Amino acid sequence: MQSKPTSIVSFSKLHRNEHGGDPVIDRDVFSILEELADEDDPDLVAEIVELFLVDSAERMAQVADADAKSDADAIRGAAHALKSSSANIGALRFSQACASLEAAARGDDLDGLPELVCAALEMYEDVRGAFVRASDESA
Amino acid sequence: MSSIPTEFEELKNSGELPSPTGVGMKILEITRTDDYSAEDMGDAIMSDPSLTGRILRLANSADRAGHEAVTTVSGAIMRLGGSVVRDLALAFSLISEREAGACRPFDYERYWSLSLGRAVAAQELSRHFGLFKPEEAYICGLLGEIGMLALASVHAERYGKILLSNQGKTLRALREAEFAEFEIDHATVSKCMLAEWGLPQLFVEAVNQFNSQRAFTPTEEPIATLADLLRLADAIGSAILLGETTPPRRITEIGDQLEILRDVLKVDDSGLQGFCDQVAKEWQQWGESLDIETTEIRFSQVLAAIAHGRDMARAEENKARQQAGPEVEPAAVAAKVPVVKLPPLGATLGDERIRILAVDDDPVSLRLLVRHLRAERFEVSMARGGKEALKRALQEKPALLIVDHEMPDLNGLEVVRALRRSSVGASMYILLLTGSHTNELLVEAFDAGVDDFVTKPFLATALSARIKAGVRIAKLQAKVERDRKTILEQLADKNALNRKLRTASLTDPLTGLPNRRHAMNRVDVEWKATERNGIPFCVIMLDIDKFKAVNDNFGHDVGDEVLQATAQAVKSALRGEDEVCRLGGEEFLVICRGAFEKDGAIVAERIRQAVENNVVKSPGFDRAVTVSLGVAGTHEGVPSLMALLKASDEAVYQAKNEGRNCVRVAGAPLPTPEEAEKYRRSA
Repeated sequence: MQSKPTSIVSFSKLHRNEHGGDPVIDRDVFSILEELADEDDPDLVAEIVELFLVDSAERMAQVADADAKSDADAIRGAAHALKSSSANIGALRFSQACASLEAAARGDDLDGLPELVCAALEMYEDVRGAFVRASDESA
Repeated sequence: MSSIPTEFEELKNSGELPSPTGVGMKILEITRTDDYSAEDMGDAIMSDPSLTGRILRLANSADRAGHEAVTTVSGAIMRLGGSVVRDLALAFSLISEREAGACRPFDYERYWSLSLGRAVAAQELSRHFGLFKPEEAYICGLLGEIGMLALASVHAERYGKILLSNQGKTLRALREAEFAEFEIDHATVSKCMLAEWGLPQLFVEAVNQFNSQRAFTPTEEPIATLADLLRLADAIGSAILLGETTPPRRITEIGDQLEILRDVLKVDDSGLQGFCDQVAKEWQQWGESLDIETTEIRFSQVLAAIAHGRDMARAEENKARQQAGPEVEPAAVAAKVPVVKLPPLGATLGDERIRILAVDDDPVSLRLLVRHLRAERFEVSMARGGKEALKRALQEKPALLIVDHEMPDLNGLEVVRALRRSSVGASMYILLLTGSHTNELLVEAFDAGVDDFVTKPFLATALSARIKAGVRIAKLQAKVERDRKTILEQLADKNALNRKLRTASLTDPLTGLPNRRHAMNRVDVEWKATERNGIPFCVIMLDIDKFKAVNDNFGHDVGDEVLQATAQAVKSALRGEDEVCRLGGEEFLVICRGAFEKDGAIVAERIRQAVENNVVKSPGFDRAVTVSLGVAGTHEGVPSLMALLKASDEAVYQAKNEGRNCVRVAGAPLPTPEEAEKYRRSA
């Protein structure tokens, strides 16, 4: 699929770089991922984070593009995909934001869409930032 | 009379079934009708001195002391009854024709030794209880397992394998194996053969029951009683032949049956011993008379060996029980069982690991899903979109498909619908992954052909449970598929077997006569008998005159009817031992056993007249045909079988040249008118 990430992300590093409020990355969910990584699959967490970062960047670009064109259906599709992949890595707040975006796009609530897109973009930056910092530190 | 199974017909068509020959066959012919004459049968028996001796022996055996000794066959018929003498003659002729056959694991010598032991024991038991005629019991005992001999004769190699793989196993296991291989078991074969030979229905059914199970049946109905008598007799016979190779399980069985015998005889151990010793003694004497291998037996030793064998069997059983663990209460056992980690789900389908195709456009979900599946030891492949999923599913034919619903190119349900329309996808187990499941989606998904759902993000345990259910179904599917394949293979096998049987068949389908293959086998056997024992035989080659004109002018249907009618006419003119075969076309060969050329010439003339007088009626055809016949017999001047056949062929040619519708004898000068008249009258 893609080259292996060289950094090992660990929850402790994510936790240290977090600032106030609801955690950007849910501790429980992420630790389940960490437990899954055993001798059989030692790079699982790093791989998944890398996969998420690449995939989500693309999807967020789609969201921004679709927002500019007011293409609700394209927003809905991208938001749906982001909703589940972010939930998998523990980015629960972002996942919820994507879920609201998806619901709004599905309901053709076009008026509310730009605001929800902005909120999602903001939160996405947080998630991305948390992972990038963590990998930088461990590098 | 129950109908004859086609499987038996197939065995019969092989031409390899043991059958009475010589005098036995003649007797079978003579007695085919109900109103046969006892004199004819007596004459047939008397033509064979050893058979006569054996029948007189039985007529004069044991409890006939006090009666005046029977010294003639007609006396034996008077004493024993015509039908008993007939069946005896048949049974004896079967033994006299036996040869060690091609089925190597089948012990032919032992087979007849045991059959004789059973026969003698059955006779003694019948006499003791005053049930049935002792001679009848003797016949049933002797022919009791004839079906095994038949299977060994017809399917030498395959039956050999069955015998080897069922050594030491139960009678039931053997019969099941027979049935699996031939679709008929030796019980049914035995029954059909006895019925075929015209033995009484009581014998037929009793032998069938005896062959079907070893356990006794507590009824007073004659068939069941005779079957039980055979079982007891078989126990004695088997005890006589007890060897080092007899498996302990069988020894136990024989021992149990002998105990029952002791009880029904109402004797103690020494009484049982005395009874069995008497049987063994008679067995030995009969062995000498019938040229069957026997040995001197002391039943005190046999019974001791059985007791020892039973102890051994018991010890073995105990050992097996100990190895299996002591029998204690389940609770106590359960407490000792260590908690074991459940094995991975990815068990195998047959020999292969179960293949799963995982499909999700979200790489993170897909990666996690694959992680789970690999941990369960499945063989996993993945696809990132609907189109790719469809392509891979059709190529890789996974047992399970786990597919995300929401995908940009083709969504999950579209993939499922497409797959369900293909033969590959029809039996696949399909799990749908969804972020949400509304009722509408559920209905739509089941309509599309989804088997089950998993919601995202999934819990590892929930996913495992769902997959487990799927694997079970996939395994069932695979089993159904395997069974279907096996059935198809078996059908193919059966068709191949039928074809083989047909080509190996020894019967000409048009006339029902034995065909050229059989004819050549038969003359070969006769030729060898002549070389060995100087028994003469002659062949009559015959050819329908101007048959080609019949075919050309009246068509092949009429031609076929003429062939059939001629075959019947020829048959009607034969003596009991003669046999007519269709060599092909309009050519027939008659084989006359024990006949000199002059006897053959008489038979040939009789055939000529029979055909000449037999008007064939068919659309547009209403007349008799004629045949030209050539007779050749064995004598010093004939160096080989080929020379004999060639001589008869040349004689036919001569007959054709000299006006057709006449008999010519090889190497003989043209008969004078007086001689021709003499033949005509004697025929």
